[in-house]
Amino acid sequence: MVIGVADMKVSSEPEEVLVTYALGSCLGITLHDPGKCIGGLLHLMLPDSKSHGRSSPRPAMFLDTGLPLLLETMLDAGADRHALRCKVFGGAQLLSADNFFRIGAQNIDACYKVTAALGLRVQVWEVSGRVNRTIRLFNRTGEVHVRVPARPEFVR
Amino acid sequence: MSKHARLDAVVELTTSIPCAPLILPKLQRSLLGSYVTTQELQSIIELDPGLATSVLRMANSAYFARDQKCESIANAILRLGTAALSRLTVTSQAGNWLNQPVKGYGWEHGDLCRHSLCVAVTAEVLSMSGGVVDPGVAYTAGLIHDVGKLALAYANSEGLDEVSKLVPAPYPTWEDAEKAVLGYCSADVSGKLLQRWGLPPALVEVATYYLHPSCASAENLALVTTVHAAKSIATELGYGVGMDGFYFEVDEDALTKLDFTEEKLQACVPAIVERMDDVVSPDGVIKALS
Repeated sequence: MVIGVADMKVSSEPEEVLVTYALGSCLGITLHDPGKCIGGLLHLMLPDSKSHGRSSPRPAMFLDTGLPLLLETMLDAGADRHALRCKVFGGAQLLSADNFFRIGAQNIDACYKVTAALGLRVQVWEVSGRVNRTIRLFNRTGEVHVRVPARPEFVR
Repeated sequence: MSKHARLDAVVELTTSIPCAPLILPKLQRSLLGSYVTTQELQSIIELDPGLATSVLRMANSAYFARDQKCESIANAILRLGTAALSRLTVTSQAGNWLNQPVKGYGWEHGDLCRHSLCVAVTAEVLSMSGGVVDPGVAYTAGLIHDVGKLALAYANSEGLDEVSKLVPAPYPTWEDAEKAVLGYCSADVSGKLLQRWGLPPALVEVATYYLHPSCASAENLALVTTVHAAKSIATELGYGVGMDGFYFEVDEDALTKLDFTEEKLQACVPAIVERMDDVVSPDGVIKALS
């Protein structure tokens, strides 16, 4: 199951693998209920929908609207809120610029706040740095396989 | 003396930039059809950096060139006509560059094309809101800005393996490491190639200076700065970004002089993603080529 940019999907099929490509400064957030093998993946681009004036037709584009939607969809699919495991990936950053291109850092900062506000305990922060990450969530195990250019794949 | 290929040798090796194998049958079907519009041809050619470069190169060649240099794909198609475009696609098909995997930048299949498309789309969106740069020229410039990387990866992938080990230490940018190992960088190759092929000075300047737009001439400063901004946003969005991608410095002075702000640039992101959704599917396949 492929999740595009500014998109979100949830699956309750135990053998499903949810994948999203090339996160860059975007965040890929996974939620997983290990007991029921229900998993969800959100590929968001920007932290705050309110800074973009109009209400977005794509709530998954923003952290503040996308993560609550992912959580709600997981619960609708039957996931146990207290069993959920949350992992966060991406947020890569360009070389230091004082006034431009800080989306990665802004996404990470906002993610600390939004996950706390939603009561989600984040198990894995595989964020920042200067690498482009592709992630795969395996619903059977909850493992997330991370691939970056020219490096061996690893599991978080 | 560097053991790696010299800049002149890399340029010399590069007789043509190949286009994506999938694009040729589609383009040739269109050219052989009973009626095809310029817009239809443009929509195919604008998806591929290699083919776009070849089309511009031919349109600016001695045979076709007129007083005015051709800076956009639309103008190049009009100048060439379908017969010349047909010959061009056959020639491109004979190119042997992609018969072997492209190494050196950690690219997967199609990565350079996806990244170049995103830079092109972003440059077009930024120029449409800015009103200083022609959007068609900005798109074309974004599409072909990195052709030198393809040339370098083909001619000197071992050198690039060495470069990758020197970033981020001792060299903070990929460009610095390329210069230390090779004596030149991919932007030098891009600029030399486009110059040799007779492309307009504006496009040569973009290829040469997109990492340092402040070095561009006053005449082309806005275009080069727009592509620099587009490159930065496209890198943040992740489309086709290889191992070199995040290791370049942002030219804040140039961006500020063109009245770019972080807020303005971020405001363009939703429009850029909507445009990219039209051409690249969620699994990375370039839609019009599938």
